[in-house]
This record gives sequence, structure tokens and C-alpha cells, in this order.
Amino acid sequence: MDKQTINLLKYRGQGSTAFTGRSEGRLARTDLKLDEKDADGVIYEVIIPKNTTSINSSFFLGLFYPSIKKLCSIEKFDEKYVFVIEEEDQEWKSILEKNLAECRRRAHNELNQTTGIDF
Amino acid sequence: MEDKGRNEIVRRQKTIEEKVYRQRRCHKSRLLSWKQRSLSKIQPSIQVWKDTRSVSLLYKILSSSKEHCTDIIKIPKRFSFYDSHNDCVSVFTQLAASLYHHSKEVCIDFSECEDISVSTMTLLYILIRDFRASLGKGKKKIKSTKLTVKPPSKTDDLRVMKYLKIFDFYDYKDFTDNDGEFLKLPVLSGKFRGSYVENRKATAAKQIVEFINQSYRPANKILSPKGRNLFEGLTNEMLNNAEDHSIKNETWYVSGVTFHDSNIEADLLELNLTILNFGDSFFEGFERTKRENAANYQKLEKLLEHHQKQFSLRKRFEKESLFTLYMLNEGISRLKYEDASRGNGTMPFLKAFSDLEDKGPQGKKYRSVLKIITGHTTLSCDSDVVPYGEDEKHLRISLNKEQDFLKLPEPQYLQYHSKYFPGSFIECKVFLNKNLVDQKNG
Repeated sequence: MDKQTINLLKYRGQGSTAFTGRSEGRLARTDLKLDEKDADGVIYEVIIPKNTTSINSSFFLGLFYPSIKKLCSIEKFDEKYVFVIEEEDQEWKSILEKNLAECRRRAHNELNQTTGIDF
Repeated sequence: MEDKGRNEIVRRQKTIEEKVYRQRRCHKSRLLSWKQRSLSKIQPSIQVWKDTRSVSLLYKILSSSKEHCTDIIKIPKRFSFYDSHNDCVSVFTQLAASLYHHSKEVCIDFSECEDISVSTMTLLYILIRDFRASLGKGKKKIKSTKLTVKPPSKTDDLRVMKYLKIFDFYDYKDFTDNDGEFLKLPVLSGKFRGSYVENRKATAAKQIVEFINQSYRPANKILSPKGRNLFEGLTNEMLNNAEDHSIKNETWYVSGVTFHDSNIEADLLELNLTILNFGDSFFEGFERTKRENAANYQKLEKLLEHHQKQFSLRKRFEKESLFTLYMLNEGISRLKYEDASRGNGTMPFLKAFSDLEDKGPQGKKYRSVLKIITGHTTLSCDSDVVPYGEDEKHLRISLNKEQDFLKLPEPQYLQYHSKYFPGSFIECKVFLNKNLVDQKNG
């Protein structure tokens, strides 16, 4: 299968080290043309650039939730969009991996349409 | 023959030049008269409105009027929306009216004030700064309002004095900070710019992290990677929330103060941070979209019915307050119909807040607290009622010690007030966990 790279560096914002903001995530999605990429059969390596200090779920969901919904599961999404954290410092790498895990947890809950007040 | 031709050319040129001259002359005078006509219709107060959005916004939304103008604005004993909500709303109603109508002189009287919060001081600062910035602008000279501050009568009230000095409201010439150290974060502001390149929130969060590191400089410490990540998460999510829910993409504001008083343990830093946006309260925003957001709205109504069955004479809550609490839970958002992935904004910052505070013995002594002031409601969250459910699918917040969202919240954490604040404050006082701080190298 074809493999291509998506580098998120320019979507971090000028002078910023964090990925944040749902609107910014949506703008990045438009810029990356992810709607087309979702159905193209290519596997994408999503690069989290060096010196990133946080990945907020608002940005992640703005950027990737439509893809997750289209692919119908987090697992299929993870097969198509493979995240690569460029950071070499192990402590930071572990922190960013936790951020991504948290993003996935939220996306999973949204996919199942559940809320914290369901009873 | 040649002379005739030459004369004809010269005559034509002169005619053209005269026409152009007359046209320009008329055009200039037309412009001037249009300008003059426009200026004559603009009243000074509207010119002020253009430059002092915060003042005019507050004035209009608080339904302030000339009757609220006053020479002396009495600051309550506890100048905090959380502790004296109605009194604080009255203070800002009077101030907005006095500035809007250019009262000759206004004295802001802190003589009886014993306690201050960073959010009320920030709002006061923004209004006065914006008003002062508008003076001298425009062609018509705008009357200046003489603003004075009466300091607290008890001079041993160091915290109040520090706040007045920090925000440049009162210059205590002989004031020295014998009690400890303090540092102020300059008021930051921003709004959505329509571009990921100009993401003001991320820059503001970075400045806040730098501010905290600066506060730790005397102890030769900085935030650890975990601390930095948590803090950026907290502030970014709070700013996202403020930006998303402001009216018509209005500005959000951030301010903060750190204290390292001698009566606080040496390893602890007290950080006071506030984020403000004008606009609908959480509840109002949700009510506006109840038709489009019917599925979400029904879930809240179902829980409300369940809670209403538990009301007693001693323990009952207004719909607005309970809805504000429910909306903090995951999956609930007024914008759910626009974007199905909405509903994750407020829980991250509640979770980050709970991760930041010290859970050890010092944590019990120095309690961190997060407050939300929105519309008629004030809500607080401390270590006893932080979000729970980490091992489950959803994090929840119930504001009761049983950690059961089906039970009513504790009244001290959720209150309703008769007066209304047009917007939302998120204010946190955090005693930073020393485990989130590293010794600085070099």
C-alpha cells in the first residue's frame, strides 16, 4: 500500500508549541484536504514535530473526527493515519503519547454518542 | 495657419485643465461636506463606544443607565464574584454607567475591602484601561472622567494592597513587599483570527507557562515537562471555551498573579489565573440552541427531572445552575448539532486542574479551587469534588462528595444569584504541586 507523510508543523501556529483549537483543527483539515485522503487507500504517517509541548483534544477532533466517523472506528483510523512523534526526549514522547490516547478516548465516546450524564 | 492650429491646441488644453480643476475643486468640497455632515451626527458617546467596546458592551448588557452614575463606587468587603456576586455586579453596573456618561469624577472606594479576587481586579483594569485609551481619540474632544482610588483603611491588609499595586490602581510609595513576593501576568487578549498561523490562544498559553517559570526563578526551579503539558492543556482548553462561546467572536482576556507569601510553605507557589469573555452565559448559550440541539437538551431535562424529585426545603437549585453543572460533563455542548465531536471542552480543564494540585498533606492545608462565574450562577470545584471516573468511559463531575451525579450537588459548590453577569469567568487558584516542578539546570 502507498505511504505518504503529513507534517503538522505549520498548523501549530506561529511561535507556538501546542496544537490547540477546534477551529484551527478544522482549518488544518481543509488545508490538508483530508476529506479526499480518507477514501484514497493510502496510509499516512502523521508527523508530530519536535518541540511540541501539548496536543489538545479540541484540535485533534477538529482535524480528525470527520475521518474517524467516516472510517467508523478508531482502529481503522489508526491503521490509515499512523502517528509518529519526532520528539527524542523520552519523557516528552511519553507525555505526547498520553495526550494522543486521551484524544482517542474522547473520539471513541463521541462515536458512540454517549455522554457523562447518561443513565 | 500654423499659429491658428497652435492656438487651437492651447485653447483646448486650457479648457481641459479648467474642467479638471473645477472637478477636483467640487469633488473636494463634496467630500468635505459629506465628512462634515457625518461628524455632526456622531455623538461623543458613540465615538467612545467605538473605542471602548468593553465599557459599552457591559453598559448595554447590564442595562445600566444614567441613574447608575455615581461619584463614589463602594467596593464590597469581599470583592469577588464568587463571594459577593450581587455586590460585584452592582459595582460594575455603576462603573460602566459612570464611564459611559462621562461623570466628572468617580472614586473607587476600597476602604472596607478585605479580600480581592484576580477576576474582579482584571475586569476593573480592562474597563478603566479601555476608557483611558479612548480619551484624546477622534476629532471631538471627549471629556475626561477623573478616576481616583481610595485605599483600604486597614494597612495590615497586605493582600488587598498588593492587588492594588499590581494592577496600578494605587501607588503605595512606602509599600515594600515584606510579606513575600508577587508577580503579575500582563493582561493578554485575543480572538479567533480565522487562521491556524495566528493562533493567539497557543501563544497566550506559552506566555502563561513562561510567567509561571519566572515566578519560580527565585527558587531556581521551572515547570517539569509534565507540569508544562498540564498547564498548557488547562489554559488552552479554557481559552478554547472562551473563544467558542463569546458573542460574535468577541475578545477573551487572560490575567494572572502569583504569590509566594511567607505564610505559604516554601515549596508552594500560589497561582491565581482568570479567563474572561463577554457574551451569553453557559446556560443562555445552551437555551438558544435547544431546538437544534434537541437530543442533548433532552438528556439534561431528564437529569433535571430526576434531581427535582430530590429537592427539599433546605436543598433546591435553579434550572440554570443545574444545567451549568450538567454542561460541564463530557459529550454535552450547545454546539453539538454543528459538530458531533463537540462536548469535550470543559472537562479537560477540570481534569487538568485536579491533576495540577497537590494531593499530599500540603494539599489539604492549601486548597486549590476552580470557580466558574457565568450569568446568575457561580460554581466551584475543589479537591473534594474533582472529576471522577478515570477507569470508566467518561469523566464526570457531580459536585458532591459521594461522586454520584444522580445525587444532588452540595449547595456550597453551586449557587444562584439574583443579579446577572453578562459573560463567563473561569478563575482558578492553584497551589502548584511541587512534583510538577524541576530544579533548573545551571
